[in-house]
Amino acid sequence: MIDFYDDVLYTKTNEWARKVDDVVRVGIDDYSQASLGDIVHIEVAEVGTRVETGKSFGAIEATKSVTEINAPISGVIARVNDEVLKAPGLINLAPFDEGWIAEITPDNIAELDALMNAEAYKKFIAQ
Amino acid sequence: MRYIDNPSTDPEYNLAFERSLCNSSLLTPNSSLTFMLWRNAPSVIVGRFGNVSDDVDLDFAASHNIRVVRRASGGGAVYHDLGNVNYSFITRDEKIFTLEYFSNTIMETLNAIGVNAALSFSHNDIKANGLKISGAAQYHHGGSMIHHGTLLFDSDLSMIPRVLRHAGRVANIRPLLKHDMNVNEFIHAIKQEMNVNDRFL
Repeated sequence: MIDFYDDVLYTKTNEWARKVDDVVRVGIDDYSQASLGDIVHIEVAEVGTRVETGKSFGAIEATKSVTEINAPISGVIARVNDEVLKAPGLINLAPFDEGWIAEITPDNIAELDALMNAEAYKKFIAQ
Repeated sequence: MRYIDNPSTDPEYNLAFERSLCNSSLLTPNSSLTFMLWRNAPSVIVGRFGNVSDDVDLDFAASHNIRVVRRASGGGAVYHDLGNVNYSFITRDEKIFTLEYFSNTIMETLNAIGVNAALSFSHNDIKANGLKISGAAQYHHGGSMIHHGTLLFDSDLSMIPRVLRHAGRVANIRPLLKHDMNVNEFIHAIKQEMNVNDRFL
C-alpha cells in the first residue's frame, strides 16, 4: 500500500516538498522508495549550494540502480538531514517524515504552486 | 527500437556519450527505446558510489595501462576489455521497460545464440553453469533511464582478480558456444537476434 501525504506537494520525478516556516523540506515519496527498493547509498549537495528547479542536487542508490534527486524549487540548501546520510534506509522506512533529505531556502515560494497535490499526483502516476 | 553504432573503445568517451543520450532531447516517449552495443579498451568501471581505493588495485591498473572510470549507475567495480561487450538500453518509458524486460531480452538473446543462460534471483545478473557472464545496473534522471550491462565474451579473466579487490566468480561466453565465433560475429549475432539495423544519430 503506497502512502500519499496530503500536507506535501509532488513533482513529476517523484520528489515531495513541504513548506516548514521559511524553508521547503524535500524528500522522495513513498511510491519512489517502494519502486526503488532498499536504499544503500545517498549523496546530497552541501549546505550553501545553489539548486535549481528540476535539476539534480543529489542521488540515491538502491539495488545497483542510481536515481538523481531533483530540486522541487530553486534556492539554497539550508540544511541536510545527517541522519539520512548515516542511514539511507530511513527513506524506505519513513519517506515523508524522518526520511526527509534536505531543506531549501527558496528564491520564490510561489514556485510551489506549479507542483501537484496528492490527488493530482495519484492520477499522474496511475497514467 | 533505434540502434546506435558506436565504434569508439574509449571508456571515458563511451560513458559520457551514453549519459548524453539519456539526457538528450532526442529521447522522446515516441522514440521508445534506444539500444547500443559498445566495447571499452582495458579499464575498470567503478559504480557511482564505489570507493576507488577500496575497489581497485590502482598500482596494478597504472602499470598495465588500465584506465579507471566512474559510471553513473550503481553496483560494484567491473573490468572491461575488448573481449567484453557492453549493451545499453535508453528510454523515457520507464513503466513499460522494466528491469525484468531488459534482463529477459538479453537472456533470451543469449539463449537464441546458443548459450544456456539463466537470470539470477535479483534479475541483475545472468549466469551460465552457475557463473556470472553478465551484470546489469541502472541510472535514472528526470524520467529518462539507462539500463546497461556487460557480456563477458572473451575477456582476459586473469586480469580480474589482479585489478579488482572484490572479484566474484565469472565466466566467458565464448567457450560455452556450440559453434565458435569471434567478438565481432557475436555482436552481429546479437543485433540479428534483436532485429536491429545500424543507424547513426
